[in-house]
This record gives sequence, C-alpha cells and structure tokens, in this order.
Amino acid sequence: MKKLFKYLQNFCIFLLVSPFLVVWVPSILDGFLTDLTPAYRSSLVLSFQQLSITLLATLLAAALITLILGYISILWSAIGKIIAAVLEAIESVPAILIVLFSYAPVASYLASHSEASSSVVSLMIFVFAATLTILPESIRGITLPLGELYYQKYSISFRSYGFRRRKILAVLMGTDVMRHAFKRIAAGILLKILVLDCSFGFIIQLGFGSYGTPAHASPGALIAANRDALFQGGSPLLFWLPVLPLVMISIAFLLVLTNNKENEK
Amino acid sequence: MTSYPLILENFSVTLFDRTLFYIDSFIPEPGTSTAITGMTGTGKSVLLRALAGLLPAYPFKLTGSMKLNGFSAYQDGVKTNYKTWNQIRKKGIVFVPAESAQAMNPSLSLEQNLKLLAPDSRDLIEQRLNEYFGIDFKKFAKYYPDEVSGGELQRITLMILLSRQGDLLYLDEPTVNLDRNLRKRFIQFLNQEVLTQKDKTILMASHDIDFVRALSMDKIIALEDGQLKYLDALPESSGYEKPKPKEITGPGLELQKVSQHYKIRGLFGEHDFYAFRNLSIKFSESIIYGILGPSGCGKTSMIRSILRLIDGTTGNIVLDKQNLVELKQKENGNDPAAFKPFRKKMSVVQQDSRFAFFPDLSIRDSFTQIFPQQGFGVEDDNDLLETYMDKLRLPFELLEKMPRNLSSGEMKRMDILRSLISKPEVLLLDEPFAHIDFETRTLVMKAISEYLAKNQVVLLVVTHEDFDLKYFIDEDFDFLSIADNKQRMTRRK
Amino acid sequence: MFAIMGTMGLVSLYFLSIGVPIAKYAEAFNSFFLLLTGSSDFSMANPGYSASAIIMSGAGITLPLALISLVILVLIALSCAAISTTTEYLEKKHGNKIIPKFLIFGKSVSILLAAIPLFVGFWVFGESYGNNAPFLLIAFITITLGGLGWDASQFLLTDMHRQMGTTHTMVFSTLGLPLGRLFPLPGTFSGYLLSSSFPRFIPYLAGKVPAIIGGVTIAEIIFSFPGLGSTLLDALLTRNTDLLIASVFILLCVNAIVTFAVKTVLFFLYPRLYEKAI
Repeated sequence: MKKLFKYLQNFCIFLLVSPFLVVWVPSILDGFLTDLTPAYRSSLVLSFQQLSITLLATLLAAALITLILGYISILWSAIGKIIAAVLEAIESVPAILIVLFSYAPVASYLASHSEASSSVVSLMIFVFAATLTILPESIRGITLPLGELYYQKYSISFRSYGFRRRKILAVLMGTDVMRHAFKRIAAGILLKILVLDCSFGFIIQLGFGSYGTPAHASPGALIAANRDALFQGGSPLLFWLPVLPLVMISIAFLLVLTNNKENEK
Repeated sequence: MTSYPLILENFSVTLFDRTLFYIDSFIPEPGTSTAITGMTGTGKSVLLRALAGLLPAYPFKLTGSMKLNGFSAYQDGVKTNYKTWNQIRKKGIVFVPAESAQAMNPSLSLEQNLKLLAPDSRDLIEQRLNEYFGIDFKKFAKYYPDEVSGGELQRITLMILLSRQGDLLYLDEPTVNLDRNLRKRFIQFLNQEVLTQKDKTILMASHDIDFVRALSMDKIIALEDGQLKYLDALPESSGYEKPKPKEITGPGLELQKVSQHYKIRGLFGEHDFYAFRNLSIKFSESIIYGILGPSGCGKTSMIRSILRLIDGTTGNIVLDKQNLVELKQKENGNDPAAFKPFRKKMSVVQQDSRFAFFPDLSIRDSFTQIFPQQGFGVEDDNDLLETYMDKLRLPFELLEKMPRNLSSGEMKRMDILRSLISKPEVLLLDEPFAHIDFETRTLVMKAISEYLAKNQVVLLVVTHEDFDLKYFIDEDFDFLSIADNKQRMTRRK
Repeated sequence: MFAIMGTMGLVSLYFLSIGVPIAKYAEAFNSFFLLLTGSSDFSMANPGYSASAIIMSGAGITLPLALISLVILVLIALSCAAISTTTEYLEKKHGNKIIPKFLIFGKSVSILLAAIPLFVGFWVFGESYGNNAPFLLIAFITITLGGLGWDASQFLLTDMHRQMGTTHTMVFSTLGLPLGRLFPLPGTFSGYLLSSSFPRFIPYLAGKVPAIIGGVTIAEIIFSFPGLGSTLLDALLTRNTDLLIASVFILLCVNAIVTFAVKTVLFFLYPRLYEKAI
C-alpha cells in the first residue's frame, strides 16, 4: 500500500513538472489554445524553455560548489569557519539586491549586443547571482548533517581503526542521511531559483520595460508584459496561462521537499 | 470501599505479531510497592509505559481493560480519549524514565524545570537534596542541565521526579547509569522516604536483582514467558569462572600528570574547560581495570585522550616507552607516521556500537573495509571470525545484515568481536555492557577473559554496574569529578 | 557597521564592473558621508531625494512592513506547528485517524498558496487597492504566498516533531496539561515543544529577515509605495549613484535593525543560549 502511494506520488510529481517537457516538443501544443497569437505562443514556449535551462544550469553549478565547499568545511574546520563567515555576510543581503546589482553592470552590454550573445551572458550572470544567494542555505544543508554524522557519531570509531578523515567523510557522503539531504537541497535550490528568476523578471519588466531586461526570457517577464491584460478589458488568459505551469512546477518541488521532511521525521 | 488506583484485566500487549505479555488480573493494593523483575527484552518497560499512557498506538496492539485512578484508561484494548487521560494524569501519574537525567528540558534552567515538573514540592526537594545527596539546590537553580555534571544532574532530576505529587509512581530501570555512590544513597532515600509513603502505589521495573534485594519492596513479581509470576524470594545472580590471566611481563600503560581541556565559546570569547587535571596512574597488562564515576566526570575524555583523538591533552601517556602525546599532539584527521604503529595496538568499544560499522554496508562488507586498515584481511582470519562468532553466540547470517537490522545486544557483541579480532594490546571499553541482559553479559565477559588469558593486554572498562564489578573487574578506581580530581585517582581494591 | 561596509562593498563592485573613473568613487563616497551625517548638501545634489526622505521611506514604509510581516510569519508558523504536532500526538498515542485527514487538506492548501508566485498575488491585489493597500494585507500576502510562511512552518514543525521523541517531552506529557491544539500557549503540550524549539527557531527567523525584506521590496515596487524598493529601482533606472548608495545603505540598516530585534528577543528569552548564538 505504501509503495503504491509512493508510485502515485512520484507520478503526480512527474505530471506537475511536465510543462518543462512539453515546451521542448512544442508540436504537442498544436491544436490547443488556438486563440493565442503566434508571438505570444512563441514567447510562452521560449520563456519556459529558458527557465528549464536556467534551473538546470543553476542547479548544476550550485550543487557542485555546495558539495565541494560543504566537504571542505568539515575536512578543514578552520577553512570551514571562514566559508561560514563569508556566507553569513552574503545571506544578510536580500537576494533580489544581489541579482539587481549583478545585472546592473551588464545592462548596457545586454542592450547593445545580439540576442544570442546577450542571452548567454544574461544566463551566466543569473546563474552566478542565483548561486551566490543559494549557497549559504545549501552549504548549511550539507555541513550540519555531515558534521553531526562525523563529529557526534562515527569519528571516534573510524579514526580508531586508522581511517583518515577524508575517507570517513567520503563514505558518510554516500549514506542515506546525506542522500536525503542532497535531495532536499536540490529541491530547495530549484524552488528558490524558480522564484528568484520569475520575481526578478517581473520587476525588471515592470520597472525597466525592455531596456536592460535579463536577455534570457522568463515567465515572470512574460506575466509582467501582459499584466494589464488581467484588467482593463484585456484577456485574462494571457496573464494566467504562464502562471498555471509555474504553480504546478512549484507544487512539484514543494511536494519533494515535504516528503523529504516527512522521511527525516 | 477500597478504591484501587490500578486495575488490569485480561490485558495483553503485542508487538507486531509477538505477544509480549498477557495479564489475567493485576490489582496491586493501594499504597504498596511492587518490583517487576526479568531479563532485558521481556517487556517490563513496555508494561510501565502502557500504564503511564506512553505506548504508541502503532506498532503495539493492546487487548483487555485498564483502569487508573478510577477512570477507564483502556477499554477492550482501545485507549480512551485525551480528555479522560488528562483526568487520570491530574490525579497524579509520576513516571521516572530509565535515563533519568534526560528528563530535564535542556532549554530550561533547573529552576524552570522544577517549576514545571513539581511546582508544589520545592521546599521538600531542597531539603531532600541536602539531606541525601549533599546538594544545595539554590546554588544550581539558575544553571542549565548541561552546565552541571552528569552525576549532579541525575541526583537533582531523580529528587524532583520522586518528590512530585501523585497516586501512582512508576520507576523504569532506575539503576541505568547510576554510579556507585549515588546508588547507595538512592537506595537509602527510596527505603526511608519513598517506599514508606502509603499514599502512593509504586511499581518499579528492574533487571538488577541486587538493587531490588536492597529495597524494602512489598511484593516482587517476575515477568517471564509473557506472564506475571509472584516470587517469594529473589534468585541469586551468578557469574562465571574466569580463566587465569597471563602473567604480567610488560610495563603496560602509564598516565603521568595528564590533563584534558576543551575550549568553550562564551560571551567574552573562548575559555578553557577542564575535563580532568593531573591524572597520574599506571595500568598493568593482564589486569581488568574498572573505571567508575558519575556521568560527565571525564572517563570518556580519558579514553579519547589515550586514543589521541582529541586536542587539548597535556602530560605524558606512555606506552612501550613512547610518549603518545608527543608522537601525536593534535587530532587533524590523520595520524603521523610515528604514531601509526600505536594506532594498530589500540582498540575501543564505545557505548553506542551502531557507530562502529559502516551504516549502509553489511557487517561482512564493513569488516572487509575495517580489517585491512588494521593490517589483516577477513580471509586470513576466517577461522578466528568463526571462533569468536561461536563464542559470542552470533549466528553467521548476521554478517550479511545491515547494522540497523541487528538488536542492541547483537550489535554490542559484534562490536566486541570486531575489537578482539584486531588483537589489540590496549583494549578500552566504554560502558560496554549497557542495555545488555546478564546472560549475554556473562558470555561477553567470558570471551574477553579468554582473550586476556592468551594475550598481553591492557584492559580498561568504564562501568557503573555492581554485576560487572563483582564478576569481571579485578581492580577498580573512582574517577573523581573535576572539582575533586586534583589528586591521583584513588584505588578501591 | 556591517551596513556601512556592505554598502561600500556593494557599490564599489558595481562601479568596478561598469568601469567608472576614480573621481566618481570619491564623489559617491562623499555623498555617502553627507547622507550619514544628515547634511542638507546631500539633498541639494539630489533634488526630490533628501537624506531625511530616504531615511523616512525606510523607517516609514519598509521597516514597518518588514516587522508586520515578521509577526505574521511567526503567528502562522506557531499555529501550523501546534496543529501538526498535536494532531500527530493524538494519532500516535490515541490512534485518532480522523483529524489527520483534515490536516492533509490543510497541508495541501498551504502548499498551493506557497506555490503561487508572490508578484502574482501582489499584482492581483494591487489593481484593486492601488497605493491604498493596507500594510496588513501586503504583509499577509508576503508571508502566505511564495513560500516564506510554508518554509517557516516546516522548519518549526519538523523541530517540534523531533522534540516529541525526547525523554523530557515524554515526562512532560504525563503532567496532565492541555494539548494546545491551535496555538502553542505556555502551559500546553505544544507550548512545551515550542519552548524546546525556540533556541533554533529564533536564529532561523533572523536568517529569514533578508528574504522578508526582499518580498517587501517587491511589494513596494508593484504597489508604487514610496519605500526603499521603489527608490532603489529609480536609482538603477536613472543611474543615480548617490541615490543608489543611499537606498542600499538604508535597506541594509533596516535589515540589520530587524535582525537585531530578533536576536534581542533570543537574548532575553535565553541569555545563556545567546552565548552560543553569537
């Protein structure tokens, strides 16, 4: 019964993230929502395609740095303390500020270069800024359980056998506890980046219009561009259509996080 | 008409598909005290927890009825609602858990804990602490639980819990972690103050026959084969015949003015906290040394400083004419080349044996990783493995299981096996027999004694229990608390 | 001090990346000094944005919004954690199966609300209220949508659930006190669990202050409140570096004030645990 429930849950999560798969096969959408203009359909598909790239790129970058810094923090505690202090300083600055400041320097470059190169630069800047905002929490998500496993449980026995600390940590990184931690961190990263990308896209579109907008498309920017369609006699569908898949994807990540926390309990 | 505070009828508890016990009828007289004895794992604690309403609905299944303080607690195996249980508890249920020191909330000061647990009994608690344990509670009131030593915390907690108002008093394995000094005074306190109270009905679960024997209990019951059986007298505890140890030929292990300190971060920066100071003692080979003392007095710190796995050690720890402190001054995750041969000579069995094996590997795979580190392979010593598994009555199938699938007794024996196979010259056992019944304990002691008979070994055992002292330890020492350990350790025998 | 260093650091990085001449650094930091000292010369250099106006936008808009949001966050987290832990207690100890079904419904609603993007919620309400949106509504939306409230509730209830397995909680449960089903009041079971979790929850709250301020900033932009968020956006839009340095500094100050307030609560509740927190 429990297994069946677990399969059902995983299937639901898969369905909820399916917009990311559908946008890479746009022909699936042929025949649906025929009232929409080709330009809007194209923007909708492109924005979610870009979002999936943004999420994947940020997840890879953030996860790799998190693993490395988390491991190093426990391996060499002196370096760990320095890393913790730097991350605490970064965490004290609101994430939206960090992203705003990261984009401001390249705003004119983005406006004056071709779409292709602007898109790549914009994505790189966002990945950098988003990784910076996510690192404090994700590294803490590694160091706390790993530190507890090492210092409070396994270090005395395994060191007494003669194992070196790095070997013990490498083994502990592969335990169930750490695997759950990684899963939680990955879901947390994805959720935060989704929120940040869309919020930021919305604000910049709102404030700057098309000038200096992150040159990689974002559902947030699309929603902002069609914000007036909600009222003033416009078609509310243009506003809600990008919102629905965003909500679905967020629910998927939240379900993964909730399940993880249930398992930990 | 007499109102009975506790009535059990046709009461049984099943864990998964195993019936732990079935009780036809159990109606202790009001104001009496009953000891429930039996081996570990027979269900004594489960019974007490069921009586206190602490048993979870799953995986335990209950049948029958239970009445407490005149209210229906269980009806046809179904627990009554929270409101009814609250009425039962308001009349007073006092539950003293096995690890009594952990009954204090670490986020609250001792005074706040007292106000929560026994708000009407402050004066009584202060008076009793002074009289029986020589503790002035006023001096400890503002401290938090982890700011006082383990022994002091245990004394204060026991006194708070046992001074609470209530008709029903349950004591669950009260001798766990009870150091020798506390044990004597605790027995005195129970006999003079608690067991004489006729307004309380007392139930105590304990596997420690000698402890129960020292108390003036009205009735003694054995929980055996799932049934409660009244006993006229307690059985005598038996040990085993120890083989003659090898003759002492080597100098053993010597500690010369060893101090161990840690750094604690405070409001104005870091300050030193001393676990112990100026410890000087010589441990010879082939003698089983017992190290006694209240919790938190520094025994485990001593073991870790001998193993050279903590920083902050000063003094000399001499083994084979080498000063281990000089060979390895800091623990940085690796051993210097000069220290490595000594690493292979030492072995430790910690209190929690779950952390002696890789968590996600089978026991056999753990051995495959651990033994080469210590200089030999499982294949080389398969015969030895079989011999020890036989001695410790561990079925071979357990080698294919994961640590989490072994019981605590099996885990402990596997850890002892792991330790003995490595053929250590210094064997450090930190509370190795906690939560093990006496029969299994005797088995393990025999295996260790036989190892000692064939090998030159320095053996230190940290323990609280009288049984261990009686049947296993050759010489024992009181490890004095930080306030008291400016002198050498005092030899007891 | 952190606010000053942080401002100078952030702005220096910004200048470095856009390649401004050295003279501009001196000009900007002089302007910063004028702001710090409350000089009227700052106002003269920035018509429409006096030092006091920027400080007031922070003190009058951003700070109260952040504080109200923090209070709502705490109330929601406390209530959700109390409901969840007491439901689990009744299920585990009394075999009560009915109430957990309602809890599943509640959890689903909270996940749905957390999944709705914050700016969507703000925009939908913003059109109805315009500049007159009540602070309480904005603060409520900031916490319930976008995941802040969900995350805080999850953190607290996970910690309180962990406390349920401890020996001291088990002993407490034999005292016959009320459960505290809806809110963890002192003298209740859920209140007791909360008292054990507070030493970790309060530092967690301090860590969430930047996220709350981030949400509040978004609200200010969308509702066109004259708060620090709008000022910051204007500064970036017009490339007014004096305004930029001023609004960043005040924003970091607001951040520091709210974080300090949270840590002060920790100090008064647990003076000894605070030693470990710093």
